[in-house]
Amino acid sequence: MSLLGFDTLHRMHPDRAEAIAALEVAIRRTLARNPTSAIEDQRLSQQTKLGVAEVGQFLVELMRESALESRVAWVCPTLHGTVREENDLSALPTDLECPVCGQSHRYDPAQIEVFFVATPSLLQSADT
Amino acid sequence: VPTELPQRLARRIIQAQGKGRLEQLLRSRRNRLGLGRGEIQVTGTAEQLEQAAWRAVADRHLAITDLAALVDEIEECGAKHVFLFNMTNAGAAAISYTSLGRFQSPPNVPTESFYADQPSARRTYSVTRNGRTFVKQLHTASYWERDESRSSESLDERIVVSRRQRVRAVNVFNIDPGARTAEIRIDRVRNRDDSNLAHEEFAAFLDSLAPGLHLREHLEPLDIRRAFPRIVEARDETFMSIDHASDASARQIFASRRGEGHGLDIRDHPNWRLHGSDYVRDSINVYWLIREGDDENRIHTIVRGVRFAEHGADVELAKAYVPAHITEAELAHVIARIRHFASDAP
Repeated sequence: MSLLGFDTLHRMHPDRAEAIAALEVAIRRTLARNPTSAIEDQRLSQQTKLGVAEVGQFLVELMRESALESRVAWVCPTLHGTVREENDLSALPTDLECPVCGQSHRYDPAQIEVFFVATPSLLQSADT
Repeated sequence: VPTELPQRLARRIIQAQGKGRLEQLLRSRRNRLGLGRGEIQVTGTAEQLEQAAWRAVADRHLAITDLAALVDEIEECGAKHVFLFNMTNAGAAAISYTSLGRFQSPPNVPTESFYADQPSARRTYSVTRNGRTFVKQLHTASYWERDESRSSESLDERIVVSRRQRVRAVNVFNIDPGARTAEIRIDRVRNRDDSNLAHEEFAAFLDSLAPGLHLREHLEPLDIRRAFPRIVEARDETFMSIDHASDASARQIFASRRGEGHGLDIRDHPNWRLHGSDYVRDSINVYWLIREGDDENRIHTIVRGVRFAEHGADVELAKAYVPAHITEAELAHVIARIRHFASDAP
């Protein structure tokens, strides 16, 4: 059985069936490794050999199908762990105390990562 | 009761993220006195709760000593660099309530000077609590902070303006003569793990306790490095979102890509294999899990060995940085567990 949202992707892009199948395999593998994984275009692009822009487009469409939710993460510039994760950029403060390195950081767009996470519905479809 | 002091105490609790604990205090008073909802407000915004607390004191529903006791716990137990020691034989013989008894007792009734926002002098008090000798010092600490509104940057010029910030700081020397253990809790002063500031504050606190206390003679730092691999193995009582360790050929960092509360423990990553005696760490960033029934509380600490120079000789001190304002019981739990993992106990 397909992962949630992938039947819709196939209907929307009948000419990209092979690419969508490769993306589905990559996401399935990612979730099997860790269901709370960060899912993002750069890494999936490397795994599937698809273009970053195309992967990004597919991920946005999966979000519309309630298979993925977007997240923004503030990454510690020193130790590279995620300091804080929010649903929306506006929820991030201008300064914060970092639980990763113990220092204080000022907002820097270079330290912000945007990615997707699987919704419970997507995880359920992966189990069935 | 003059309202200024209760207001200051209530504000201090709120500023220290103690809203939940203030709610708890007000609720317990309301229940004990059988008061109605209109008589003591126990929920609301931080501002409303702050007002509710000092009004409860003004209405004599809450003793100012109860409010002060909560401030004491908040000031003494969290947002600290906690240095951990065992007492040497010389220390056990020399350090006692009597030897530190030259310090005055804290006031029975809260006073303006004891709870001043910026104490005018370094004031040290000693008291015995539950068989422990407890020395508490208040003073005004300072640090430099960049003033963003007056700093500027253009193509050809950078102007950085720093302003000296002065804040109330509370340091504590806590001795358990029975267990022959001691800890020095140094106020972190600012909202970060500033090791230079911690070092300066630690040295100044030690100086102020002399001649009753000699660091090298009386106290033996906990051998914290031996605790690291054991803490890493203690999966049932710790959570780690980051780990950095090295062996003889490589340094490795594993850092969770998800924020706190979302990701898996980094030790569950399939490639994490940083356990065992081959891997060493300079510090460990760990959440201690404290469970009460179905509730689980996570206390964040960064535990490390830090060099401290005293009379030309370097010693490595065991330090646990505890950023949050936690309760006495939570701090005691964390310290006991770190001590356990640094000890010979199985």
